[in-house]
Amino acid sequence: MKTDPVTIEVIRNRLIAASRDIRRTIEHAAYSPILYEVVDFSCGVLDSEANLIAETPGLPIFLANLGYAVQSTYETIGRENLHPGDVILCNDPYNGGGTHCPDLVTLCPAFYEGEIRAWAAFRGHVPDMGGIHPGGWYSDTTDIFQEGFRLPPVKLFAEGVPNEDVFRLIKTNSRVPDGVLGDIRAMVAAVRKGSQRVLDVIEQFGLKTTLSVLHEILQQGERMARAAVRRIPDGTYTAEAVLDGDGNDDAPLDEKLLLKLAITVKGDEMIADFTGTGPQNRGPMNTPEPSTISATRYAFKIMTTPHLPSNEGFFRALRIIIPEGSFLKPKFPAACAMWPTPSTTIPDLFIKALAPALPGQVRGGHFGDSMANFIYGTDPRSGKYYVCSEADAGGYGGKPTEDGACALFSMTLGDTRNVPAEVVEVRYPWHVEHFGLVQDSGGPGKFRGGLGVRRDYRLAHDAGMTVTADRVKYTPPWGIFGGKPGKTNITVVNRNDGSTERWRKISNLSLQKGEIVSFQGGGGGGYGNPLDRDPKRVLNDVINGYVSLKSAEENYGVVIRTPEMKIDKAATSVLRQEMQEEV
Amino acid sequence: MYRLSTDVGGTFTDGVLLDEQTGRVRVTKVSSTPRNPAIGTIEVIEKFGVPLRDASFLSHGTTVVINALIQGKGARTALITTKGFRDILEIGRSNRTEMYDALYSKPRPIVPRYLRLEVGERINARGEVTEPLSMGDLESVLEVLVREKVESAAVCLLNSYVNPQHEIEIGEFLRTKLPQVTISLSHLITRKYYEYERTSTTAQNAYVMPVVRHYLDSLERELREREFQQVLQIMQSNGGVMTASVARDIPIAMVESGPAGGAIGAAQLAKMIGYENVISYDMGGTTAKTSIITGGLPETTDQYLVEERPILLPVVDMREIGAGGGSIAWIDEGGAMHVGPQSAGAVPGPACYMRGGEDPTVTDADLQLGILDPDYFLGGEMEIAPKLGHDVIKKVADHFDLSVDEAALGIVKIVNTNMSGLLQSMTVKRGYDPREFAMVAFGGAGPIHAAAIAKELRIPTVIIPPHSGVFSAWGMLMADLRHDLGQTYIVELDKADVAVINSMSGDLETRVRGIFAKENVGDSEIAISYELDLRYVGQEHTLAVDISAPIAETDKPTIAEAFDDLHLQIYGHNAPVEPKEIVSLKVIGIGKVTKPVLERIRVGDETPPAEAQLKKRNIYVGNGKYILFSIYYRDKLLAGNVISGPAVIEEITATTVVEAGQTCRVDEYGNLIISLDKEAK
Repeated sequence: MKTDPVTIEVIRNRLIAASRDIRRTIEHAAYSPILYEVVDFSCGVLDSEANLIAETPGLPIFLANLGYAVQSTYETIGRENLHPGDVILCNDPYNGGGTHCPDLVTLCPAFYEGEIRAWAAFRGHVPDMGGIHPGGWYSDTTDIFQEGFRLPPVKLFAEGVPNEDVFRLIKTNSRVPDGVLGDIRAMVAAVRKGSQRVLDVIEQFGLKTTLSVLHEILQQGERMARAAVRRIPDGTYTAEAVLDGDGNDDAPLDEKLLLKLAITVKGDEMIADFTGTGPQNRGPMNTPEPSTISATRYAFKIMTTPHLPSNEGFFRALRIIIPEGSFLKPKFPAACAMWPTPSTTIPDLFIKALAPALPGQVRGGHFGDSMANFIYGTDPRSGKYYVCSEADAGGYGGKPTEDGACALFSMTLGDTRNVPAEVVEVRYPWHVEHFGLVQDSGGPGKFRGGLGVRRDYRLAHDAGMTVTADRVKYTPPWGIFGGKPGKTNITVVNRNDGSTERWRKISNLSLQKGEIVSFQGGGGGGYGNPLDRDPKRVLNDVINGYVSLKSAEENYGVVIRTPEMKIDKAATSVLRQEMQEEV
Repeated sequence: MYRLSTDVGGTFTDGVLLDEQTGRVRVTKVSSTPRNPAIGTIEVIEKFGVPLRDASFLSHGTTVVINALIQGKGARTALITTKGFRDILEIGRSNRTEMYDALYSKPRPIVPRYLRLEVGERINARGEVTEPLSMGDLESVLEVLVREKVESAAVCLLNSYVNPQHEIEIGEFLRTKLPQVTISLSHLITRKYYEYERTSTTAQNAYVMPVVRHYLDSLERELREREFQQVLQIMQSNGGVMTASVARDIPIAMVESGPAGGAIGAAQLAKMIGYENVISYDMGGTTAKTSIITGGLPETTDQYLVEERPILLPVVDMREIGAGGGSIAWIDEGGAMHVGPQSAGAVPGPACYMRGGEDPTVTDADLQLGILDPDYFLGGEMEIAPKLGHDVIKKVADHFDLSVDEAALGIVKIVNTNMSGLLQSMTVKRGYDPREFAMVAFGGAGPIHAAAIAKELRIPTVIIPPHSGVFSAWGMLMADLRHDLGQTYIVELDKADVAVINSMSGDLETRVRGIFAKENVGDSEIAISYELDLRYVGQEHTLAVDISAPIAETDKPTIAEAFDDLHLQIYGHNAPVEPKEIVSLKVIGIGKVTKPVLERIRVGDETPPAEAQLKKRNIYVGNGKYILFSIYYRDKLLAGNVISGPAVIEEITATTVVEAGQTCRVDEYGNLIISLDKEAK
């Protein structure tokens, strides 16, 4: 049966509105800043066969694995054992979760005439689900059993009645049970609302029409994606990056982890092949398959149809090949707390690989890491234990016609927001000492990479900290078409004894009252040869302090006379000539 | 004596004049004069031909602020921040609103980095000075301001929301040294925390301040020359007016000046005819805007974005989508049909306007269906070509193998759904049921679509005011003075010292009354209300609970319960056993302006007079069916007339549709009141 285009459009908009309602509920009613400010979540509406139908922007790399949670629910609980009023909860990376232990998924089926017709789904990061150290994000675990309390798909509510056993289990196993349970309450309310909105659509338009529209929405997505792929010249495009080791004893930080990507475009299909990627790690830098798929789909979306809302149909034009037992498809019981780290580089590699085919749609590499950091301890003001999880921002690569953006969260984060200094000082026993851009951190280029960010906290009590910055030693934020790399990520600790420590990845580091921790997100890579940059832009950068006088000369060949701040045209021309010849 | 309002928009400057003796309303429109917008206002006044010395009240809405922000035509502005934090304005919240856009760009900081200057000082979150203000740094700042010929300076220091001492000191220093530079201190604009949002607000205030002062100087001079005796009132984003002298200090408060007028008009009209809760629905050529009015006041929100830059001031909570008469219907690569957000705008406009438009628009569809009368467009003043509209819709129709009429109906249905989705999200967001609201619809395209949207949302009543094309200006005429002040104060409700809260609300109230005193508003005209922003401990976002001040310890359980109820209403769940936290206190001051009595129209029978009835017309309603609609001429309708749908009511600037099964009654002021409930009389 063919439904008319008007009804399709009407229902499609209704479903997008449903997923927007899920998000709105979470943003306002959740307890943990990582949910309401960091927006470390995603939500959507899926059909009964676990195909994503409508989404709302959140954390893009979470998207594709909402379907995995629904499939796991069918396999674990059984479709026949699901009933109206059930709400499913899960977080096991190997059964329903697909990410890491602190990410909880809630699902609410929409039953109509006795059968599941759709799902409302939500996945979000809560502050703590147990595990070896607070926060659920480590660099030193060696199997999944150390990483936290795992739930396969379970009924949190059975036919509307709360399953108190599950609530008690979570309460017992989390270091910050009040916050986690508060978040779960908001998550349940959110998916229930989403599910009800889907039922409203079925009530109004009838089951048959609604189902046929769900089908058509996926087909429209597929057609759009295929049309976009067809515009990319056929060919095979490759790129690779070497990530740092995960810092586990058996895999030192200096170990090289090769991430290899070959994209083949043939007609209206794209194949993303990760063959050649390194084996799974003993430590936690492993990305479970559902999350690798998710990150790859996200990368596909940005390079093909960035301005259209997503659904499963788009990805029928994409085939993904991931080698079994690699760190992009680890086998149980591999540790995977640091799964987002490899996945953050996947979309960046996509852009790099496709640069020769689509030079007007690409940019230099970005700082390439979520800069996740976790500080925890007992707040001396209240005597209460807290876990604070945050991400930090960095620079994005220079673009075909303008400089890269400064101070944004990494690609795999989305509409994530930082926690304001004034909020930090109220909520946590820290003093924010500095929050600013880092001069010369943007990679030089005809269009410069964006600047990275430095944020300094002085602690007012003894605390623990986990940080896991990657892309430091082997693969800085790369430039393209002759652009130079940006500055790399790092976390610096200024000790009370006057010493300074520079950390890439470290778990559960002890910090003393009065010490300063400084998170420094790197810059973006440049686009094009810096010697082709308009000297006026270089001067403007120097006046604004984005670029130092020294870098203006050394990287851009632009000589500026001080104190009058004028370009020395003659000297610039000579210097640029010399530098051009050196190359 | 009479009252007057002028609303300067992008294309037209609207004017409304109300004779206080007779209650008669006159309206006019002139072309806007972007080079000097004050001229449009003067032209309106001259067109009315009444002496300004007889004006008892003149309110004014203007796009001068929003234009300066959007076009980047503000003053040369510097920003002074706490040492280590000058990049706050550029770092922002570091989020990407377009998550799939690899080339995403952030909003450009409104103050360039070399004019963002730091001073050594520090106040902690408890308001204690931990580092004194560095006078040496301040001298260096002064040097830069002079050297760079800065016209306006914004000052926003960390934690100044708790203790503004250092901002005050900097303000005094700069005023003494640089009297010609305008100064904006963050704590005088808002005392809410969130430093990026507060800094952004202060910087934008500083950026537009010289522009606004210049504009108001020129407008007031023109008015004085014409013997205007009263104080010029300026429409604010919060739905109230303020005097021009207050607007000079907080010009950023007038950013949404025009649209707020529509919301306040809907609120005042509804109150006048006995509705408390209404949805205001304004649909023009390009966008549709909606806001919610409860208890006679438009609901406000604490934050607003212009060009992605936040403004942390109460603004009428208005949602806008790209859905108007000019919205274009199109087909994407996947074969899905969409309407908007692209618009044909005024030029080329809908295809039927004969100005070269090649895309099918909502107006073309309304014309194709027979809702719009080709011979009575703008009262017959504008010639249009239905054939051109038909031809562009046919492109869509052929693609989907539909009849042209069916495709036209599809365009209208999609745009209606987009709008009902917008309205739905406005009400659902607040936990309201649309069935408990009436809708006030206006704007050029609002009355055509209002009844269909109301039907979908089961809104029982739709009100179409007279002069719906200049309704925002009409609303400004009815606005009260309003000032909102807030103060962040974070403490658990149970542990909060009521004496502290009372002294804080007392201070805010004193400040609000101080502003009213400056505006010569008498004490008896002032109504003060208080709100507490509350949340569960651990949450971030808050909900506002009304309180009466001063509060007593014994009021706490009532406040807690009110919050629990509100949380349940809006989010569908609550946690009464959880402790609650106060985040901020707000004081809202309304300076009541005496409302005129409106003229009543002539009373008639239930049956409209013969001269109001026009020739019936066939209109396409779907499934291959055409229905004969009665057509009425609005200007000839009399109070008490009742019209049963299907009907179309025409006037010069608008067309109202009454669907089959709906009933429309003309009230004593000439409002069309459409009842969707079949039993309604």
